[in-house]
Amino acid sequence: MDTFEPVRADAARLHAEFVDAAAAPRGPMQLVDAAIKHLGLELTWLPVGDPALKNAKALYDDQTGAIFAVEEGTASERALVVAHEIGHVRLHAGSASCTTHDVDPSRSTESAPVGLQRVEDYGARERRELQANVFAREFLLPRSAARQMFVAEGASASDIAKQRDLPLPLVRQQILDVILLPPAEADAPAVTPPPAAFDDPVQEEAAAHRDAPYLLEAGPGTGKTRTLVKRILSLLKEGVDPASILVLTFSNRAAGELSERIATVAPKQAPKIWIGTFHAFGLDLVRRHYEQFKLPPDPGLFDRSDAIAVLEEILPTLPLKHYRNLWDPMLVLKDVLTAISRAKDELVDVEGYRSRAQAMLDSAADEEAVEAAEKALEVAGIYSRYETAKAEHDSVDFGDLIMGPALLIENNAAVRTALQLRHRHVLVDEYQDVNRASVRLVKGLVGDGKRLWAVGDARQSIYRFRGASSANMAGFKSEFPGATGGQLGISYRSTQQIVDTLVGFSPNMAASQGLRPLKLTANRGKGPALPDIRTFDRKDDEAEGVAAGIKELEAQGVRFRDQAVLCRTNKRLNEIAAALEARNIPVLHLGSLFEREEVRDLLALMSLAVEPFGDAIVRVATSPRYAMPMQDLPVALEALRADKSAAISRLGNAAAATDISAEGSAALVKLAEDLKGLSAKTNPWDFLTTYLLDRTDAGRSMASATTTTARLRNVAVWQFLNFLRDSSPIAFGAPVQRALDRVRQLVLLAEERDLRQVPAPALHMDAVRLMTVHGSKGLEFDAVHVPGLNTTSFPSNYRGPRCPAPIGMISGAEGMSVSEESKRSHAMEEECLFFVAMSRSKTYLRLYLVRFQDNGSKRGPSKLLEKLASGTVRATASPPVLRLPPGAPQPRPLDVLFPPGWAASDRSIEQYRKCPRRFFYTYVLGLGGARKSTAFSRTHDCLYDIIEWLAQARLDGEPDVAQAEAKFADIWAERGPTDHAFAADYRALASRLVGALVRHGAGRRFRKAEPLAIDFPNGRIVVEPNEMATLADGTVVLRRVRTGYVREDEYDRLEYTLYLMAGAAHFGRKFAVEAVHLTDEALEAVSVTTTKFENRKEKTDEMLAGIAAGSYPPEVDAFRCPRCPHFFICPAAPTGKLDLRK
Amino acid sequence: MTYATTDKSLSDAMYAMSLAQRVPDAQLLDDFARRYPQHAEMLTEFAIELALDALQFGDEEFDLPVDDGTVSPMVSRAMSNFQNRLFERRSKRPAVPQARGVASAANPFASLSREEIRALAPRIYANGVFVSKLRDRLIDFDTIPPRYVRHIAEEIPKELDALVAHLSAAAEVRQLQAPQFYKAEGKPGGVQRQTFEEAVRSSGLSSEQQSKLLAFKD
Repeated sequence: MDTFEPVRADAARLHAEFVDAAAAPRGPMQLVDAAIKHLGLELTWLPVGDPALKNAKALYDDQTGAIFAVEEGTASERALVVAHEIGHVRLHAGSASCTTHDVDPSRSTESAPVGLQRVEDYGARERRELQANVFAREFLLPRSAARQMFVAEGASASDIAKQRDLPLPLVRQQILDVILLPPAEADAPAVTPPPAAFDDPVQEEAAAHRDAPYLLEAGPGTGKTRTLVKRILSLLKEGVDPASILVLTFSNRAAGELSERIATVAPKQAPKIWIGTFHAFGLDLVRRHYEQFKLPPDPGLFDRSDAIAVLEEILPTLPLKHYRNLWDPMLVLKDVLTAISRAKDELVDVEGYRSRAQAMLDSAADEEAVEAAEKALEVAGIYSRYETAKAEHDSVDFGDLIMGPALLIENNAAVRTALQLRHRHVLVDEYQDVNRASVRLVKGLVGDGKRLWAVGDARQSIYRFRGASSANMAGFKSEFPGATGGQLGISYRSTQQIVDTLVGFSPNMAASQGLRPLKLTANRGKGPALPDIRTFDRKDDEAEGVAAGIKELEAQGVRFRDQAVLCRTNKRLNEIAAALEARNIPVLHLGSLFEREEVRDLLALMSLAVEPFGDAIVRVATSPRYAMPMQDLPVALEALRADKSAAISRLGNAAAATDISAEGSAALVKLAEDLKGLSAKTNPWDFLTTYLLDRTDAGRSMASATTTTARLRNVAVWQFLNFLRDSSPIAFGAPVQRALDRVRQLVLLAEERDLRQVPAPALHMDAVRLMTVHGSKGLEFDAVHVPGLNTTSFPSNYRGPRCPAPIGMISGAEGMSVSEESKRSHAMEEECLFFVAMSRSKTYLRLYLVRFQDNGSKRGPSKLLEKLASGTVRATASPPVLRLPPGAPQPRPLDVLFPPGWAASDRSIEQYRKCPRRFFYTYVLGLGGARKSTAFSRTHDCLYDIIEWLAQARLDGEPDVAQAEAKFADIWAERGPTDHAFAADYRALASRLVGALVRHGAGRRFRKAEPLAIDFPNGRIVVEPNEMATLADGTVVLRRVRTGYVREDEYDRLEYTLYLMAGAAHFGRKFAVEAVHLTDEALEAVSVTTTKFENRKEKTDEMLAGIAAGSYPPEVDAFRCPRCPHFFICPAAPTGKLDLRK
Repeated sequence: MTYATTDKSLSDAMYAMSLAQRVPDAQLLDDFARRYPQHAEMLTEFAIELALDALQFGDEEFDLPVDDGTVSPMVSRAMSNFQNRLFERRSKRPAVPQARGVASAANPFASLSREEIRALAPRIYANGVFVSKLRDRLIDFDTIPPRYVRHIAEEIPKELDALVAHLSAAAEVRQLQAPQFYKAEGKPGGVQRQTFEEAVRSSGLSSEQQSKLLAFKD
């Protein structure tokens, strides 16, 4: 349940006591004064710097029952501070002391888990401050009052802020909480009663253990957290100083849960106990010892997108061969950063990396080994530049948070001594997730280890990508001499049948090696059913089978919210979510936040503030508030394009365009009014909350959501707005631009995963939980459905690391090749994932698989199923499916009328092949899309200019390299990135390509490139060759010139076949197609097999038919979409006809 | 609560710990923190100073005869470092006032319940803030009118000597915030003591209370 609910309820009750009274005080100071009186407190205002404040903004002195606060700011601002302290009085034991940073009653109950927020905000102290802030907000403006004023009375957020004399951000956040979060749970939650009170002797023994390192093996559902809490209580009972207890976890969720539980059982001591993730503890150590790290006291924290932002610009200047990709540096950097982070997991610094790579090169016996060594050396080079860039930004990254402190403790006796004395009792949760760096950190902290206590389950080790290895469980004894341990043996979660399945599977897991065999008995005894395997024909049937399975259990009394679907990948999760929603089964699944329609509506509004072309109008036009007809789009877009300033400032001009309809014009006038005064410089959160809560009724209509789907849409908006509150340490440009860039960057790097997590206040909705197996860790459900138990899907296909570690870097992999080690640990992790998935289930477990692929070929069952012990599972013959109800919405074609003679080009049809929706935006609506200008893109533009120039110049003669260079120098001076720090490097690169371009023209007589039409039954395609030339024998050459390199599947691309078709259609047999790739300096003749030629011909005609029929479905692709210029508007399209004949 | 039985002051505890073992370890510190829970944090800081000192100076002083009446150079260095460090830390971060019920014989205010404090305050013309300033020794003793000190001693009631000993001691370092996330504060500044008159004027006292208090100066 949402732990803020009781806090809010208490604050609202207190508020009601005063407001119900006859003379209802409403001003914040009156409310606060009334509460002070009512609670028998004393409130004193003190001047800034008064010693009684002890540097705090305000404090609550429990002994005297007094609140002291700084007398500064307006009455309303001061009232907030006091309300925050009253929160401490009501909620927390003992005194409290709060800084300016602590007091912010507009803070959201959850911060978006990206960047620094992923590390901070989960400590017990942070929780207390947040609770006090939420209390203050609710006390000054209870949700019921906010709802009444905003929804029922139609007041805007600004009106309410004025009326109540409260800060606007506070009012806005409170309204957002009211209208976007589902109403709090009214009924009691649990369907199954909690397990009866029990005494588990192993739990007691483990909690009471003293004087030697201890590792508790805790299988699923055996009460791991309970035992950990018991141990803390037993230490406290013994009189151990709570401040000497350090509890380290791996996830914020675990840290938060532990903090809450300990605060409940030991409220006074809890805030003094250090509970948090390894990374949070690392950050704390970095801050405590910042001088040692040559950092400022509060260093910035780099996430991958920050890392890429600084590296992107440096990359072209590095002497790279294998990892050179100027076209899309992010692609390479992403992999290299993974390798660097992996090195940090192993405590390997730049020099360590380089020396290992050099050793590989020195001993390399064949070409393959040389290449591997060179690659590792290149990574070492980037690693080095990255570390420098990071230091220049006074920042650390996630890996540094463990590696830095681990090495500091090892190398600095004073720090080690102090830390060992300070943190005398160290408890580690989820020990199976430790990697080399965290083990060394723990070793440094615990000294002789006598007070180290760890708990984990090697069979649930699923963080291989960050170097975690279940082998660390088996290695505990050798790591900490004298260690002992125990094993919990009673499952309080699952039925006997499920427990038997887990126990039967466990000996077949590689992770079981070196551990005690899994022994579990079910406290709950026998359940209603064995785990059930259900097989279907194809993927769609499987989704229908999952739907049927869910419905079936619901009919038996298992609520939707107690059922979960766990998938191996996000992609499959999205498919299943869509299938369930289409069958009216409510699902709790946000998916990729930035790809949700309601979030993109907001992103599109923001885009209007930064981009000059106003493309985002396409999405905005679809909103019911504006409902602009499609036919008006080309007119409006043309009017917006007339000028280069941001579209937001010129919406009025567009409304006045001559050909626009009355409806369209009214829509634009309204939009201009709604966005008046907002610009790229506005803080993004203010931008959108102004729009939603002050200017329009958008917020009000969101408040009326009743279905789970609609409520989840609101939750997504709430989550998105939380995201916008926090910003990144690396920032260029205006705030709205920065926010949009960051969104794209996060999606490109798949760093937005944590934003997919449904926030706590929405978790009580009665909807089926959908999550990846990784995301399900630590959770439990009455029924668990696991689809996709097929070969190549679960276990997932093994793909080796893109940047393999140098030999000898990965500990525990000695004697194995890098790829052997990687393969082995992949297989091990997949088994653990399966174990985790099955063990989430309390009562029902359903495993699903298919017999065939979508193309009809056979699909084998997962090897994991073979590892289940016989008799522990059953199979249902002809399992039920839930077909789509009749009348379910189907994708609708767009109504487009092309002008006579309209034809697709080789480029546009290729676009249609990749993504028909992008084709529609680019070639039908003519959207340009603002490309982010980088040094490389500007270089690239110069190159295309010279290609064009050369094509022209070659008609009259044969320009040589010097002439081309001279021309290029002019182009460069005009358009090149001459102001860039590494301009010379880009210039040198460009020169090389220009040289290649000229050389590849030798021996050909160039002629004017002409468009060559090819007619198909369903339409025409016009091929526009980059160059045309004639050879001595009269053969016509059609040339395609690319600046890049030849890709593996290069000539399988449709454009080449189209060149061939055009050649055949216009020049019979006397023609040839050539491809020039400047980066490779390659000139190759192109040919394709007859089968491929015929297939592509057929496919092209099909595509032309699709274009004519208005079929432009979006092709969602994790790689291409975030790179697409239409990312923020897709897949929106207004209604109505688009007649391009006009 | 076990706290009430503890009747040693911080300096006694520190001294006892420095004698118990040359270099304190986790075990020893646990024992002392258990015996003097109200000083747990101070003892931890002190133990760290002792251990760091031992690291820096090694065994060179190990064989020095320990005279009961004197403090070893190691302990006195550690004491001095400890005070300095604490001063630094105090200047950087806000401190949490001592929790109710945590008693110390050296501080006559510390053992009072809220009700007792509330009853006392009007009798000494004070409010919660002013009492906390006396409790936390935030008023320069030399500026407190002796008549007022005697008045407090009568009202608390405590031995005058004990009260004087408390008010004239170095500003007591109260429990610092639990070592949670360290955040550098925008405006670090040392916690200064006030003069009596400043304290009277800046503690939110009524003008009547102020004139009563200032009258003690005559």
